[in-house]
Amino acid sequence: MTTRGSETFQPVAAVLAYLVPGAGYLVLGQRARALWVFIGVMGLVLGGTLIGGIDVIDRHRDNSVDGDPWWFIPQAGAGPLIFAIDWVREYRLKEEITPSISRVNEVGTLYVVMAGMLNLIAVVDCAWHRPPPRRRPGAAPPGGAA
Amino acid sequence: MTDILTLAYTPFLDPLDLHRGWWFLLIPLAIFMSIAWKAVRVSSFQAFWRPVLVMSLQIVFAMVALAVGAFLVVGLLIPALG
Repeated sequence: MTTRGSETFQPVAAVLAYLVPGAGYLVLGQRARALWVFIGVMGLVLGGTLIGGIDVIDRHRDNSVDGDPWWFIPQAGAGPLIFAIDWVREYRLKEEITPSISRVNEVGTLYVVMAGMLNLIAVVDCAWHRPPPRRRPGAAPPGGAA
Repeated sequence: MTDILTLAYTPFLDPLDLHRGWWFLLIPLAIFMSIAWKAVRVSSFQAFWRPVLVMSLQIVFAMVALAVGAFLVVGLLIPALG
């Protein structure tokens, strides 16, 4: 989080933050923040897909049969990994997976939804952020401080 | 039967059999949400576990309070009125 008034638009950090959770903060020189954002978002994605199986990420759902496809929209905030999981589930593993039902499906879906929404917050924070500190020639690289 | 199901379980392809204790999953959900949120918000990462723990407890207690409130309204208040 930056102090108000010192932020500038950081498009590269924003794009990287969407592509890989936490990567935007790496560009901004904040390694500790990058690591913890990555752990938090990926923990939710892995937790959700472990609980409900990769069936919880499904943009092809039929509302009258297996639930609401609109959950995919907030899930997609967690980055291209979500689209990759959805593609693998639909076109590679559709016959192998066991569809999850009831509370287990709902909780797994909620985990991934929260991952997507929290990663979008990190993307917005990276997009308007203080620029990374300039390194003087010969100076030691910055530490893990945020 | 349980042994057969356990042997057949494949992580990420099959859902976990937690239909009876699903509400325990709120705790790791709260922890990971707190980690991601506080990672964006805090200005220093010294003793990072402290705001994460506080926020996790706040989420869990709020959900318990909401469950108790919903039970009081749906299970007691509405039947008493009706």
